[in-house]
Amino acid sequence: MSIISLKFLLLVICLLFIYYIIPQKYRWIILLLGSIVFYYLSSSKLIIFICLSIISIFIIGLKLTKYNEQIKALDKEQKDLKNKYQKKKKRILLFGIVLNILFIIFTKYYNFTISNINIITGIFNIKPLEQTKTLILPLGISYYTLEAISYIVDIYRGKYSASKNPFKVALFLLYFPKITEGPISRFDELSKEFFTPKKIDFNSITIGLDLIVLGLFKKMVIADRAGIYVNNVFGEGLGGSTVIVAIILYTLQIYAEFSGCIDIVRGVSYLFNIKLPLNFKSPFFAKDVQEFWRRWHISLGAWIKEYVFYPISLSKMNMKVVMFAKKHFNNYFYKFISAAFPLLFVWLVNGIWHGASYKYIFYGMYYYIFMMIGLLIEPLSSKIRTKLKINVHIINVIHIIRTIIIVIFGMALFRSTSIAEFFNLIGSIFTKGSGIYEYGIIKIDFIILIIGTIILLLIDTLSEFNKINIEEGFTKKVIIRSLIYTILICSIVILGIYGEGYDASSFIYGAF
Amino acid sequence: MKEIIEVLNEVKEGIDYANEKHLVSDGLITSFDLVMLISLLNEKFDIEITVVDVIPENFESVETIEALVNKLK
Repeated sequence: MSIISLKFLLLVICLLFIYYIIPQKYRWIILLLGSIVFYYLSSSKLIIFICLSIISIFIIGLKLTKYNEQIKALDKEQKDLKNKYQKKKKRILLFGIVLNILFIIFTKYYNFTISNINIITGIFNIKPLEQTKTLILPLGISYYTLEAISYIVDIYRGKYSASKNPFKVALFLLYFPKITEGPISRFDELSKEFFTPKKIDFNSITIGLDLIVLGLFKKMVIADRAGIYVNNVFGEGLGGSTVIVAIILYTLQIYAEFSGCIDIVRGVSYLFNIKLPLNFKSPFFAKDVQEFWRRWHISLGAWIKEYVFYPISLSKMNMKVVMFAKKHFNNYFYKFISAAFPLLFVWLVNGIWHGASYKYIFYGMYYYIFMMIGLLIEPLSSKIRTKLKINVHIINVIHIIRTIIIVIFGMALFRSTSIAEFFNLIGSIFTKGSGIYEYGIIKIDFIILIIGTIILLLIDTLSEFNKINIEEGFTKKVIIRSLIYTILICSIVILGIYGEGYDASSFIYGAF
Repeated sequence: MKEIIEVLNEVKEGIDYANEKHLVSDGLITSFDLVMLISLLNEKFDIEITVVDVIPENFESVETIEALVNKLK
């Protein structure tokens, strides 16, 4: 069930009605029931996979909490016993992580895993394993697996105790607005929202409606229109300006679509007075690739930082490398060497999370290379900047443009079906183009896309300079609000791209 | 406090560490800088800052870093 379908709208209306008429302390139960209905209608029997994840992290969470309490109760002298409990805790945690990763390996990554096993067994002339024709893809498995892991790791680290109620853990993973495309949330943040009794808040409902309308505009007027051109050009062997426009439009499409979807998701959640974390923060204002990933898909970046980057960076082995680099290299290489190993893992995880193929690993490596080059040349470019005394604003603009170019080509790689197609695409840029009006959209569509892009940029610019805060709604002034609503709703109705049965096309990030 | 500022300057120069109260949340110290900082603090004060201690609140200012170091000593 798409979150921009009529079925979803009906489900939300029904849930809202029940949610606000029952006593506050039982409202989370309605969210859970609604989430189960949504999941079952979307994924049917595959709900079993998310149930297995819920059961596993619920039991493991309780076990970890038990050991945390036992360790806390020990005296300082009981070091041996403490070490024994610590080891047990670590084993249980590892089991939980591996188990949840296995669920995703046997579903989304099944064929990718089999093809890699076959490469290895092929060396020893062992008969290859058969790949499946129909992959099992439980809804949101890439998102909820990360959430499941964060739950048990946080308990392991003593951040909070395990919930004694399995249904509360279930709601954390299943919560229907975020299950399809995130944002990837944390249990401690969401439980505050879910389980604190909440009154009906009209301000929250207004913000929710603002976000939903804005999200629909981004998705149906901008993203789906750009998508028509992109689909007609990518992989068709075209060249020149035709391809350049397609690459730029794909970046626009994915940004409008993903951020639009998150706006809708957060907007729907606001209707229930539940605040979900931010996922985008004016990403095209980033001055380097690192900063871009702190502004784009924030919840994924934050997850990887907390559960991959820091554990690897602060591991004893990496700390030895860091200290070795400090003793034997100058500051220039010291930072570079210290970051090289943890970042390799970060980008491998980022790449593989996006999809089950080598293309996505290459996609991760693409950003890894740019990040490492950035770290390597930073001291040099800093010296040049100081010597030439270039205005800091000019430098910032140059850096922003440089980052946008890197990201645009990164998106082209993301959209290409293979690494080879990506390189063909880049090569085709230098061949002759064949116009831009013959690929599904005409001049008026380009004008709409340009206006849409200006609106997106305007919102991002105003947010960047703290002139507006979309978290507080468009505006408090009723007349201006009505005007914005009229313009956006009319745009969606008149200019929106509709597919069969007047359903919008599916979301790119919804397939993860 | 002086020692902590010295370490911070070794990681990144040009920041008014004595008065800055939001080193992490204002993006003055990135995750790379944090790893450098932790490695230097570990060495200088003979402590072991683990991943559990890596929460923004512990690294927002010289005072919070000092409190963390004292706790782990």
